[in-house]
Amino acid sequence: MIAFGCAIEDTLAFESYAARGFERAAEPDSEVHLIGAMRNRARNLNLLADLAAQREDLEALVIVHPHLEITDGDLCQRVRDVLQSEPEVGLIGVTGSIRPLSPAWWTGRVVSADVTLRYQEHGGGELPRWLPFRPAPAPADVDVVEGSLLVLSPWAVRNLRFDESLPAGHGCDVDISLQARSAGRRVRVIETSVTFHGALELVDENDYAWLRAHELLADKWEGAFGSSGPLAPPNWFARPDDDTDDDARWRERAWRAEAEREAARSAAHTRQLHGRAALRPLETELMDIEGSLSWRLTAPLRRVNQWRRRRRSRARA
Amino acid sequence: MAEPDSVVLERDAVGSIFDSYNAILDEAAALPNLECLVLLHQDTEIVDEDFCSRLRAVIASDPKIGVVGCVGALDVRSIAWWEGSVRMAAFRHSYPEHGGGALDGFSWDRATGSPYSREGDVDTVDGFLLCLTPAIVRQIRFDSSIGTFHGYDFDFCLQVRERGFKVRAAAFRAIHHHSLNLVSDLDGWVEANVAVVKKWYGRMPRVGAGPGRWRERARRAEAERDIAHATGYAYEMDAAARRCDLERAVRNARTSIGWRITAPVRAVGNCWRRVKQAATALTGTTASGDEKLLEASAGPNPSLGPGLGEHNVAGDGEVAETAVVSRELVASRQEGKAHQRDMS
Repeated sequence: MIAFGCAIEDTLAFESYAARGFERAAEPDSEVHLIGAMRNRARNLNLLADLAAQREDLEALVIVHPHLEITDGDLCQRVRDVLQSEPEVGLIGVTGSIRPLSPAWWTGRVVSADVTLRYQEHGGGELPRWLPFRPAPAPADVDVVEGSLLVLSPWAVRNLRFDESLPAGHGCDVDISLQARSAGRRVRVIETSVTFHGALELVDENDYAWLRAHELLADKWEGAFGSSGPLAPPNWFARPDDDTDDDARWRERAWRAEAEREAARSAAHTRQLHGRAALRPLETELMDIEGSLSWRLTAPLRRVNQWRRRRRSRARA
Repeated sequence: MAEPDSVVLERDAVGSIFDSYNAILDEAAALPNLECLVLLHQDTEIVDEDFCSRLRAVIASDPKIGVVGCVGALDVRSIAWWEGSVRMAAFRHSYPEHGGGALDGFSWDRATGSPYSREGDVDTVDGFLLCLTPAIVRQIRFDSSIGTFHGYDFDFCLQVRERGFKVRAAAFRAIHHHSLNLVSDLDGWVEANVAVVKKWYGRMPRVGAGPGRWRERARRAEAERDIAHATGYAYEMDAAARRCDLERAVRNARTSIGWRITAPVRAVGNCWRRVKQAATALTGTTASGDEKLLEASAGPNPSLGPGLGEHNVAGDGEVAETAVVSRELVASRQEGKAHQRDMS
């Protein structure tokens, strides 16, 4: 039996997105565990795992974010195929990365299934969710998975715990992936399709809980997989050429990280400038149309049309 | 902008910018009656006609002034001077990408400048325009151990301040004709930043300083670095979403009944404009390059290239400003030709 779970913070969002996905993907015997969300995401996920663990015949637990809609009706079969043919797979996701350099999962080689972002900004629309990361296609083995959809194998449900010490549970997806990897299990991104209904922003720049979770995860996992695994420390830091003391190495690392931070901010600003500049021709085209004599002359016609459309939609409602 | 007796030291770049500038400093140091050396990037264009008199007035105001620039900041702790409190930004960033355009620094428009736009002492000025007093030209050199390009300006300003001179930001204006890519060679930039901070930590207040223990600082900066990357990705997504929205709006407008039924009206209008242009071309004389510039400043003309036609894209309010700048440029070019004649 493949179980589904969701921690609901916003009922409307759940009913509009996650619930629809469950209807599409769940099998007749699937159990669906729904809980009210607590403040810490890791606590939510642990509770869902505890509920699912009660069934002896559990094949997998699929946990989704309330804003995530599964659009693949064959998800259960895909999960079953992977877990039956490769029992060493402990965790499955729809997006992940290979050898992330830090607890920010996107710092590795990103792999993704067909993940669409349906956003509300700028009149609404759809984009491939991880477009800027230029992700490699699924399926692939990865080191960490992103947590908007997590599939836990029965082994993971009974042996792993999401780390509740992480502020607000940020990064608990990366942490549980690394727990699985360190226990010798494989982590996999499978070929499937989902839609995430949410904002264009990935992380709020001033999210101090996220920053703190990043620091804690780095302390916990850096170097745990050697110099060629995920979260490997920089070579110069791990193996200094001279016998510099610990404080001096951390000082060098702080200065370097601060320089990299300023460079990343500058690169982000450059992306913003490019984005804005690239839109200017379209903005001009639209302004030219809307400022033209013929557009202004036909404005009453459009007003009448809008009025008709509103009337028609009211009548339909 | 140069005066009739100004000496122009144009040199092909040799090695790093540190070496090239040092070669110019050596040459300038030998000049008798040197009042000031103005070091420019090849893509920097001085705009103010009274640049020399403004500069002379700034230098005369305080004998301790060593370096003057038009973009400067306070509380600068690394070569990322823009992370400090920027006090003066009298520049226009003219870019060639996406059909060209320009972004104005907050001190560019003297009439509507920001309330914190102030002439005064700063920690560093940006190196695209550096004005050095004779004492500095004869005493200080760019430190080529920093790298090959980045960080030369901040390091030089630190040397100037260490010798007891002042670094001053002044409101003369310059156009930087530069790509939208703010920092080229990010890896080289990071290395230069580390080199400058290492060199000056403990020697100059605030450089390389920050709150917390080194380990905490490293961890926090790495987290902030990753969030900055995520912010950049979000900007890209935002631009893609905006593009979809604009394309949809243009498509809807172009396929609307109103737009389609008025197509004959626009066709007649276009025909009329073409006839008028042809008539003008037949009767008009060939305009000189500068006259073309003046004509173009009154309306959009992509052939002008970056730095001139860009604001025509932005809207009515900025068209007028372009006209002013273009006229200034024409005037400056004419003046430049006159100076060339005088010098020859």
